[in-house]
Amino acid sequence: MKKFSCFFVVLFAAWLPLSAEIVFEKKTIEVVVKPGQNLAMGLFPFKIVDEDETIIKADVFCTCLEPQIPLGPDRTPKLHWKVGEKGVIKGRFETKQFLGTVEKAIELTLASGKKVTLNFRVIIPELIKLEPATLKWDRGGAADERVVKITVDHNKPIKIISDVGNNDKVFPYELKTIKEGWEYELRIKPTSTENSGMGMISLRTDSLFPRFKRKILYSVIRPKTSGAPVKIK
Amino acid sequence: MRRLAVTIFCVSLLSSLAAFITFQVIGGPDRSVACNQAALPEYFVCLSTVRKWDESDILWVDARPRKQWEKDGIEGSVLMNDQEDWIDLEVGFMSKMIEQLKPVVVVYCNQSGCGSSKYVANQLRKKHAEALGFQVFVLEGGVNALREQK
Repeated sequence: MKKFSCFFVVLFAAWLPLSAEIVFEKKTIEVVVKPGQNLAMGLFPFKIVDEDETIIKADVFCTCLEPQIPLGPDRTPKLHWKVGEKGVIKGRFETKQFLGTVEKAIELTLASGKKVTLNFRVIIPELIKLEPATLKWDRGGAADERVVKITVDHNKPIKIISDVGNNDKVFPYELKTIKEGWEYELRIKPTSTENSGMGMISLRTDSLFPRFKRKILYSVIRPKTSGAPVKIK
Repeated sequence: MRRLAVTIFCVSLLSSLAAFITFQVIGGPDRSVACNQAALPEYFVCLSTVRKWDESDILWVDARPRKQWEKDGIEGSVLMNDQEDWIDLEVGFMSKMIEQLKPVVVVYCNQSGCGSSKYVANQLRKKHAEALGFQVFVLEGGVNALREQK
């Protein structure tokens, strides 16, 4: 019986380090950035419960995201944490080339072998919308006129200052101002749909923010696809 | 006490020997990327699912950094990542789509957690998929899944 007791004590002692836990208030955070904001910070507060914990490393899978582990008294990342201590893992996200919703993760590897994934979702509003962003005509089909609506979703106007098409012979177009700085229309009517082809219309704006200085509209003539979706189940 | 130590030693030795024989006979452990299609989020696909589709219908999009794509990207794949100017890369993608008429686009990055493939897939879906009539999927496991199958 005594031997059995010893066995269970040893087993329990072996299990204890596995119960160490780093508890995060939230493992997913969402940040909406302002149009000109190139940097977003995500904060992941945590506390250590049950047992001391050691952070081995913090991995990210994009050069756009830099994980920051709190610094210790010696000004180096504090990797060893005692029960009851609190801290904040930070994610520094460079958003300059993104638009729309971006999700990136920080993966913490702990001494217990456990991995913790912290998700950082950043939403970068689109100030200029082209609807639709692509126009398609079926090869051999009707060469009808299509209209693209361009709208500015911002508190200040953004003007289109130039427009250049790279294939005006096939895709002649007309840019119409509905309300300067706020609303425009692009009307495109291909001269023929006999051959496959592509045209681009490049629009330049007076936006102060680099990511909204250029917009591209694609016009495409291609054969009709079968339309049958692939099966994934 | 001595007997206990001898027993532990013998058990350890025997189990190590059994493991060694198993390794020699059967081979190393299966390190393939486990993938259950039914459990995946919308627009994610297992490589095993992709392999059931007609290869000629698929346009592979590599969402990794340019250097990695140049080093070992799938033959015929297009580079579309979230680290370079989107518009410049988009022109390359659109040209390829016009030239090759692929109804299915499968995007991969380094691994599931990289997020780049999801971002690229979302952008392509939002901007071009409906107009051009293609479907966009993210490859679960990313390039690791592809390497495992080689």
